[in-house]
Amino acid sequence: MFGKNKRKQFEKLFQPHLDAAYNLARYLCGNAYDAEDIVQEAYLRAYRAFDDYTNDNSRAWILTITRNSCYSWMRRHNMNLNVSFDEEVNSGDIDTLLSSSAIPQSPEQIAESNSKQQLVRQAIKSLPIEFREVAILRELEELSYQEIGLVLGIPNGTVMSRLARARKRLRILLANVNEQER
Amino acid sequence: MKCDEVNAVLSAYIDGELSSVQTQQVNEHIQSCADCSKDYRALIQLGNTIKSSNIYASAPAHLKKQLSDKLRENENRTLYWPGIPARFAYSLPALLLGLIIGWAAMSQFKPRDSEDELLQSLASAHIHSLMANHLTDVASSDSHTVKPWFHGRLDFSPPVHDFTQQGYPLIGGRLEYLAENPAAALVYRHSQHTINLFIQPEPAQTSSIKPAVYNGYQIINWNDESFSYSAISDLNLSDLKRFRALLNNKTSRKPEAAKD
Repeated sequence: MFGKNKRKQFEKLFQPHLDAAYNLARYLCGNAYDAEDIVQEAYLRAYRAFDDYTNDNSRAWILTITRNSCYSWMRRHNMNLNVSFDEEVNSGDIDTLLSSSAIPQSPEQIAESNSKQQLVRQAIKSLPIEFREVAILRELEELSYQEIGLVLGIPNGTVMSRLARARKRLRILLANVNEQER
Repeated sequence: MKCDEVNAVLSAYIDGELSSVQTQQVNEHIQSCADCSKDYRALIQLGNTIKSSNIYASAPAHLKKQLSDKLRENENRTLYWPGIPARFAYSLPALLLGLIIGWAAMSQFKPRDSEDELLQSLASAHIHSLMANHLTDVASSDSHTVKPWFHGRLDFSPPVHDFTQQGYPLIGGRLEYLAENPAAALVYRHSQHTINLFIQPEPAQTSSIKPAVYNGYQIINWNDESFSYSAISDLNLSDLKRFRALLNNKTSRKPEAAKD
């Protein structure tokens, strides 16, 4: 009896956030196949912890667990936490971004990704993970800073500065796309 | 504010995450500074580019089904305990009984806890708004000024009405967090008393909470099909209920009031 109600209650609360969880996992781990496994793992974890769930913000709660699952997954599979992001760029100089591999260089690559969708996706994927997650949660999930802070376990001020830096990078990476739109 | 100060908070500005004072300062600055106003427009443009680029990765349809199956599997496992050693099997009924009693006790107390927590967060939001000189982020008795202010600050559009005629003038609105959830706070006045009306989407469990007095403040909660409402004030219960009736009258007559 209890088991059945619990599951129903759980699904009612958290199934609506499945897209959000998957989207986050997809962008953090970098591929669709792993993202599915990560989301399943996250939801099972959440289900096991459901008895202790007192938080009212179900979306922030499931996203927190999903993010933790992503990180432990990547650690377990020895994935570089800065997937598709090379050291040179990571070291900070924003001008090197433009000449880095983050942007498609060869004609094939350019042809492959000349749609806006692919350029934007590529730009977000090229961000270091701590910038990427804050950009996803704000730009795609439209969470408040406080909610983002909850999910990432950082103070609001840090959310603000990380997001500002993430956007600065995205602006440079997407300068051409923006130009076309103007 | 200087340019580099504005630069540091511009991103938070477009997200509506600055205090009303800072918002005002950035407002003034970008109106007079060409560089910062260019940065501002570029940030808005970036947001639009991302939003319009259709890059959201929705969960594949089969994932939902798979997940349901996994959960059911998990649930069965916890029900039958196949892995449990036989020598513990006799204590199983006792254990189950214990679990049931424990669960019954939990379900008795849990709602109380969250109820208390809600009342407490309402009362502290109310008290804070009176003390800290932060009653409103947008001060206006014009519902057409207050309502649009919430756009971009909340992911829902709360119903905003003025009841000056009826003796409950609208003073303004602000953004509030109740137990970490964003809420629209509307401020009304009745004679010398301030009323904070908190509006949140998705009817919460609050409807079940009876009118309560918390720290001397009267609180009433109710729901309609789109929102949950909590009104708190040092008014007496009947005046507060009259306020609720005015509001219900407006919102139920125009069910589309939630939209612009």
